[in-house]
Amino acid sequence: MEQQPQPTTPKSGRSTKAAATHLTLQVRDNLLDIIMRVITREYNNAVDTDRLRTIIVAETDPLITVTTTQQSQHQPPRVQDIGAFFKKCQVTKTTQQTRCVNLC
Amino acid sequence: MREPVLTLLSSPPTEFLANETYGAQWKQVSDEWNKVMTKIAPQTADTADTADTADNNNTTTTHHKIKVDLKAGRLFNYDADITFLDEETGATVTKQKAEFKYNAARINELPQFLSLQARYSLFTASPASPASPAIPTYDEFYYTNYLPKYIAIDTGRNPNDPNDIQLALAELPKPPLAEYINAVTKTSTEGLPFFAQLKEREELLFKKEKSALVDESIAQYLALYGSQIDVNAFTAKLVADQTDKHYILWKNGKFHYDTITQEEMSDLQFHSIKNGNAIVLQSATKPSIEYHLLLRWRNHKGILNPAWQISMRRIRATPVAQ
Repeated sequence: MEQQPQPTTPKSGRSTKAAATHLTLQVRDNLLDIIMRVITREYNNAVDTDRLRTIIVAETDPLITVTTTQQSQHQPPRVQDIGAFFKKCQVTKTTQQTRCVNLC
Repeated sequence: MREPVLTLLSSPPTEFLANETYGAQWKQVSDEWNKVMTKIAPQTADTADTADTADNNNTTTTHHKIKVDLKAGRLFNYDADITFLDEETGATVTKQKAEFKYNAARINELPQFLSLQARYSLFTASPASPASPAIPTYDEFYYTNYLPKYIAIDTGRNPNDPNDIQLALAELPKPPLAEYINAVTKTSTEGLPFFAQLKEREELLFKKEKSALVDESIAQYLALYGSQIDVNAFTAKLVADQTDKHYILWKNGKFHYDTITQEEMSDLQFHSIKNGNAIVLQSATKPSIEYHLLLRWRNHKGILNPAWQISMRRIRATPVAQ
């Protein structure tokens, strides 16, 4: 049986991407908390901070996700990665079926 | 894992093709890739010829260099830019948007081709202003009408074990609406104590009752508002996302090509509510075309990430040329 090479660098799997995204989102949210507190204090409740937060979150969410995902894609494909095209999909639930058809 | 492989398929490294274990697989996938590329290659006399022959399973490749740049994240609504370069000068001839799918040969076989978070308003003419929709988005509707009921179900008393007494969910501080709406679209409960508690208790106590309540909330929402869907807004979103998007689908050892035509995205109208969880839209001029907008919780039912999972049906779809 052929021995699989051991990876020497971190994998660029979903868990790494999710962790990086989560950390960045956490920093963004903490920063937003501070900014909203300052705005409330300085402008004496004249600004709708909930609405402002919603807008900033909507604008920054996609940027954060794409940044972390693009970073992880710098890993070049390995020869054995082609095997993924020949994997059988076990479809038992809608969620799994959805994952199954997404190539990433 | 498969997406990065696509960047090498038009011309795999020699050592990959020569690999004892995986070489044959690289050759097969690469041949199929170059064949399907003729479907989206620039329409010159040369490539038009190869496109025709590709339909007959000829393995002739296109006369352009192909470069694949992967795109990802919510900023992009497709997987990659495929650039066709002049073989001699290296100049860009054309660039195409591509979406890759596995284990399907047609778009209408996909359980979803588009997903919209529940906070995306499908019921007003102005999806750009989700903060003040005329009809509540589902997550807001759920927060107001069903989250209190969900919490009330789980009293912390195990009906099968009188000694198993836990904190009643009603004792948890419920986040304010704005905070809830912001958090409910996330995919993880990390850093969200209220949601983490709901998740921890999801399967522990009253699982069936909670699940039934969430089903009821979806059915009730669609019964109240489903027929009022803003079809024009949905069509505009569909056209913006799908126009010029090329689907490259891998199934049974082959790449297949598909796209949603302008005709398939026009003249849509509300048709029905299906199974109490999906809105069905139908083309008025081509009734064989349907779009199913399934409303479901993507990460823990009733707890995180409610979204519209959108699929397409071609009722009398013609078989794919093999």
